[in-house]
Amino acid sequence: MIMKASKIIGLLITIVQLTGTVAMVLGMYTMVSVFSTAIPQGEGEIDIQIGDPVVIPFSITPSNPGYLAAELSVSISLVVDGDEEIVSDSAELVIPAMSQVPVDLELSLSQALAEEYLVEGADVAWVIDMRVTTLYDLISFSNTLTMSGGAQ
Amino acid sequence: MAKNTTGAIISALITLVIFVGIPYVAPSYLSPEIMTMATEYGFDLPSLFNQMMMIGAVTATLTLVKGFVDETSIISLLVTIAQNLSSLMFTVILLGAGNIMSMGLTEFTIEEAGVTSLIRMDLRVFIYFTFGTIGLKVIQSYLEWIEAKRAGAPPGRIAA
Repeated sequence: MIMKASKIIGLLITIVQLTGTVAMVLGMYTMVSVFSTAIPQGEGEIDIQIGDPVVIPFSITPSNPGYLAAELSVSISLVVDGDEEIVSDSAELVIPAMSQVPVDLELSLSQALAEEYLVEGADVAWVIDMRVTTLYDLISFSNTLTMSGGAQ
Repeated sequence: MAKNTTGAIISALITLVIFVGIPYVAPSYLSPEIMTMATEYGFDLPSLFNQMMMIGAVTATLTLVKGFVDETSIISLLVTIAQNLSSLMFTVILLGAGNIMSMGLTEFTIEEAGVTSLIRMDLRVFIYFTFGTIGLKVIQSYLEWIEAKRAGAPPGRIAA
């Protein structure tokens, strides 16, 4: 009887360990892949539309080559005095397994604000927040990037 | 018994080499730049290596002790449970990137050229998986110990 129980527990341990390992491999692969493709690549791709308001568009196309769906939340904001947001935009989307979803964000601020803050040496910061969750919301990876200066 | 003892000595030596020897010599093979970069990123590599060496030494000792004690003794059971707990500690340290208190919720900051990057990684679910596995292993060890005691009891007697 005890021997039987011990063998059943042994089998259970194997199942739990296998499940954990497979979940970890699949989850980490999905999370890292989505995150790395969500980071804008290259420079000079932002086409600022000068006018009133001034419009700053951001486009990314995160792709998910993994076998699990992933949820991506991304936000970008222009911050003054550490935490006061002048303007921001955000998006939350689900990226199904083996697919990619384009995301378009847009910061729109008046010409007066742009002249005050989007200049060299202005005491502002760009804050980009990205968070990827997968494995049925059980694991997550997030990165909050803060870049000082108004004319980045 | 002799076979068990020899096996335990070999296992303990392998554990010592992998979990004490390698982390001991690893810092001398890593360039100072990598060590500095790890420190800037919030990774305390020397602390991680020290923790690995401590757990390695404890595990090797437990393996050695287990090989020399009677498998029906209470010491054998306690040593097996302690081995399971040390493997739990090892997983928690690895998933917490050296910070045992983080329990799989790692956070570190990188600062470079006016850009601050705050990275958070939540891998707590794997800690819970490990807790579950270790719990089951402890139960299994106990059942196997009871089984060994029964098998070792003289005919006609039931092991206490």
